[in-house]
Amino acid sequence: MLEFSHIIYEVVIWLFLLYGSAVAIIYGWIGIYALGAVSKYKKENTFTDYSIIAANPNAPTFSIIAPAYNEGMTIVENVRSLLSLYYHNLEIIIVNDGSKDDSIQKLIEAYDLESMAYFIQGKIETNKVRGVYKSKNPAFKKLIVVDKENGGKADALNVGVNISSGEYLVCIDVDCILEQDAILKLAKPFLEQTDKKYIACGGVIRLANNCVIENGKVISVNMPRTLLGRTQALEYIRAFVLGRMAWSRASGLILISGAFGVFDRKIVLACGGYDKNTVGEDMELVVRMRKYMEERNEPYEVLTIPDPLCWTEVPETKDILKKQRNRWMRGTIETLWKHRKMMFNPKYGKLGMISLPYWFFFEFLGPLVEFSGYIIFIIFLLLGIISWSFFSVLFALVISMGFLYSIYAILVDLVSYQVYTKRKDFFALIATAFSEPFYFHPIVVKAGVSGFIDYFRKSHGWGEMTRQGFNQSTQNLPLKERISVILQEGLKRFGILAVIFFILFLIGIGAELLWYRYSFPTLDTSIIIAPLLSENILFAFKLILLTGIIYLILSLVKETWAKILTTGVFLTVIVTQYILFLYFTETHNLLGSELLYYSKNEIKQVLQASGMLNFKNFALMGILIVASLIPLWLAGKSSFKSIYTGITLLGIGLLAFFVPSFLLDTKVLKSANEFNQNAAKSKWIYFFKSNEDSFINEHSEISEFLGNP
Amino acid sequence: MINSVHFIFLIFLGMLSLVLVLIIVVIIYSFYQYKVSVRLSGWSEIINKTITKIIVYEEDEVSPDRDFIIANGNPSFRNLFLQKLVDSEKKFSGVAQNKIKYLFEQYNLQEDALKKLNQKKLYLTAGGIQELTAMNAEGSLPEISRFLAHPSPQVYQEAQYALVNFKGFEGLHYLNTIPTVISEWQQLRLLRSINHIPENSEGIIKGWLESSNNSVVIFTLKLLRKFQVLTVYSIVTQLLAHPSTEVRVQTIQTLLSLENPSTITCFTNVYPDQPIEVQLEILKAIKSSGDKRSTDFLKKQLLDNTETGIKVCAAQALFSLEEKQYLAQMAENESSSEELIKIIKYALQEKIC
Repeated sequence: MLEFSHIIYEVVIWLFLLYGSAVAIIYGWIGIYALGAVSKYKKENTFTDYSIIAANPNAPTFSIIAPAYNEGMTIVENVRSLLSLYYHNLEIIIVNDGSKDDSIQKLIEAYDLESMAYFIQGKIETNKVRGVYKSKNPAFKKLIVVDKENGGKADALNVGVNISSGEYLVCIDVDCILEQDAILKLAKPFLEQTDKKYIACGGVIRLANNCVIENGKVISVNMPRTLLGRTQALEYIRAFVLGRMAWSRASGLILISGAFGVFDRKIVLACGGYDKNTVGEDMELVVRMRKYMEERNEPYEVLTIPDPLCWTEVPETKDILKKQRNRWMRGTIETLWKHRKMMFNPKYGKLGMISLPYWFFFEFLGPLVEFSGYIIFIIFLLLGIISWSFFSVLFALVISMGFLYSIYAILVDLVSYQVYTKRKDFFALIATAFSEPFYFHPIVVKAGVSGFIDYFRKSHGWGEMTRQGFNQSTQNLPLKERISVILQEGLKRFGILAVIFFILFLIGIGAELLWYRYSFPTLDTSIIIAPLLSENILFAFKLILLTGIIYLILSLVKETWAKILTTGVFLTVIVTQYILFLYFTETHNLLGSELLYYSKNEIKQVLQASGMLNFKNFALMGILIVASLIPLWLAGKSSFKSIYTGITLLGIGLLAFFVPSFLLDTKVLKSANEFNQNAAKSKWIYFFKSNEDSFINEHSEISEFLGNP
Repeated sequence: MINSVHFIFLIFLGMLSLVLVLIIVVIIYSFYQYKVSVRLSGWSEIINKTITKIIVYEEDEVSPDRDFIIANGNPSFRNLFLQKLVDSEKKFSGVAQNKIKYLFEQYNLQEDALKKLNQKKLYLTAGGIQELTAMNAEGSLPEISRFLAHPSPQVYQEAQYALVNFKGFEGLHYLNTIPTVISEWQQLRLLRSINHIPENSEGIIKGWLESSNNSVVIFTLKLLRKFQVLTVYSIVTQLLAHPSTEVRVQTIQTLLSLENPSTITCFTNVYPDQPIEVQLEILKAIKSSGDKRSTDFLKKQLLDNTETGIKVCAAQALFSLEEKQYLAQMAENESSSEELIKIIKYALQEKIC
């Protein structure tokens, strides 16, 4: 048995080491490969004269599609910025996705728009289009505004695709600021294609937070103010300058950012446009386009150019950042699941054999592996089996490799397109690289894990995602009503926690019975089932009542404390249940208040002597804790719809206090021997009562208070 | 087990030290690079000042300032200077352009550019060729011609462009035999630098039009469009049966620009057998030509053709051929399908109140 648990320990560590090494190798490869790609692009384009195509009527037409939802505050400025792009054959399509504010009116006023008859040539199914507007003013003749019913970003983009008439589509977020010569720089790769067809192209996205923007142009570049923003600046440099360039060079790129991407229109139409049913529509489209080209066996490329062409605002508050990363994770899972047939399928070339598996193992599993690593670390910590020297070297290695990668990215950025020219910004970037593993990275990992969980909850409809407006809505109520609402909510939440606890407790009782059967073959379990069950159930209900009351009181103060405390209490009770009956099995005695009288050393000696301190038991204990914690934690995240379950449970708990104990003693049991009687007793009740008694006896003031002599 | 753990521990220690060393290296290099970029921007200022002075004042009035002379000793500076000259050359024309060329000659930057040609790094070679071309250093043409057969596309494309830039049409003779595809980008550059087609070139042009390299055919068609070479009209017409759709589309555009009275009839005759992209191109051509004889043909396409793209094109063509009344009538007609009415209204650019 010892070897078995030891084998598990070794296997776990080796698995993590293997995964870590794979990550290190891949990122090392990305670093080196990307440098080549970035230098190559820079060298090929030092003398490029983009004016060849700027005013050339034979240059390909680009249609910019920008979906807009409730962007009334800034939409006029954003459109102005788009209209100032330096390219002749351009079409700017703004799709108003059923905004509830006055976006469309503002546009009509600012750009002198009038509603025109339209005919949609594209055949992608979308929500209804309400109108198409063009400007009376010839200065704005490139602008088309489409008003449609709300349908989401993918749907709005599809409407744009349907209406567009250019050869290439530039799909952007409407609040993105494009560089003046962005279209010129994007057009060049498409014009240079010879034997391979370029189906999609992306550029580098930079952060517009804290930059000085005038007339739709970025005049002065500054680093974001917050640490979160700065870390994202670093992250974007790593992701775009290194990650995307390397994958683009290796022909393995499957993601072009939704904030800024160019696509070949014919192929987008042939693939059926964006998928409305996914939150990661940008990645899903590229995967589908690649699949289309692979199936037709035509040579193609998806590329990225390292020119910083697009500026966007990134979230600078934790909440919005978490929501964003949560959404990204769900999008990844949805895309990977939808295209699971291509995974490891040689028919799909690099797409199926390299890109999709990479995304699955390292982008999707990455946060999950890391999170489970934290948990396993904590388990091992509790079990005391961590080799500290090994751990510290490993930890230092991981942190320093991450840091190396970050500053390498800064260096590559510096020699190529240096966006942050100010000295203090350069230092700030390096300093941010230090702080990232400790602040930003855990946030992102947690958001990734919660994205993973949310994906399954949404698809299986578990629990209820309540609380969305709860806190705000209670602020404004008068005190009495507020208390009533909080209590009701508390009952709903506590209800489910209690139910889960009860189920786990019952499982524990079952385990106890089975264990007795296994350990004491001579024991007649039939006589102890009934009293064991009933005593324990009564105990459980009494506990539920007490915990419930404490929960409700605490939830008036702060709900999370209530949840944490209750979960902790329930978890402790369940786990201790196992400890207690195991103790009984080993020693044939009920564990009572003796625990308090032994010193730590003595307890350790006793345990060691009994041979209970071995890996197997620790591992099993760990598994038990985790197996009990997960349902409780999940229960804590949701709640019942009605308060009745909670109230019923509390009611039964109240009743339980009034059931006299003698009712439970059966005749059969009375005649059994002491051992059986002890086996039938609820271990917890005995433990609790004896500790309670000794506590009271110790503190004589209380006993006086209770009227005892 | 203990041995293996110890072994791994040592490996990790080794890796850790390696990583720490690399971190220091990268940081030092970054600082160095940062200093370089600061120095470069300082030099840029000096160069910009010099160029501006030269353009604004007369040549003999200007004497280079001290900073410039000091910096000029540094080959990196001269390189940057050369780059900036090439950049500015594109932006100016006429007298200013000449002045820039004057700077190029005065500081003997031709040497720096020629040195690049013989470098191993491809981008330097290509860059050198570009610089010499931009500065019109005709004397270096024989050197550059060596690179026409270079394996790297980056280099031979620059050489091709240089040849055309210096020799004009004669520089295009490599088109006779070139096996590789000429990208659209390259075609645009070449087109821009050819200023006229000499007499009696029909033979060569005919050869290109019959080339098996489709990009050569397409480039030639664009050339004919630019220079309105009417004499080869009949040869071009034969290309309407070329296997490549793209060639046919370009043929239509070229024939349209070389238009004669029989062109539109020719189009409507070949129309039925053509793939849809070519048909759309024909309709657009009819629209641009404004030939009113084709209204019946257009009406037939509008009503009978099943492809919506064709219908839209036909309606738009009819609109520009001043058949508004007919279109309005069709829109009012009760037997017209909803789709047809929508198409017509769109073509009529009707405003919805």
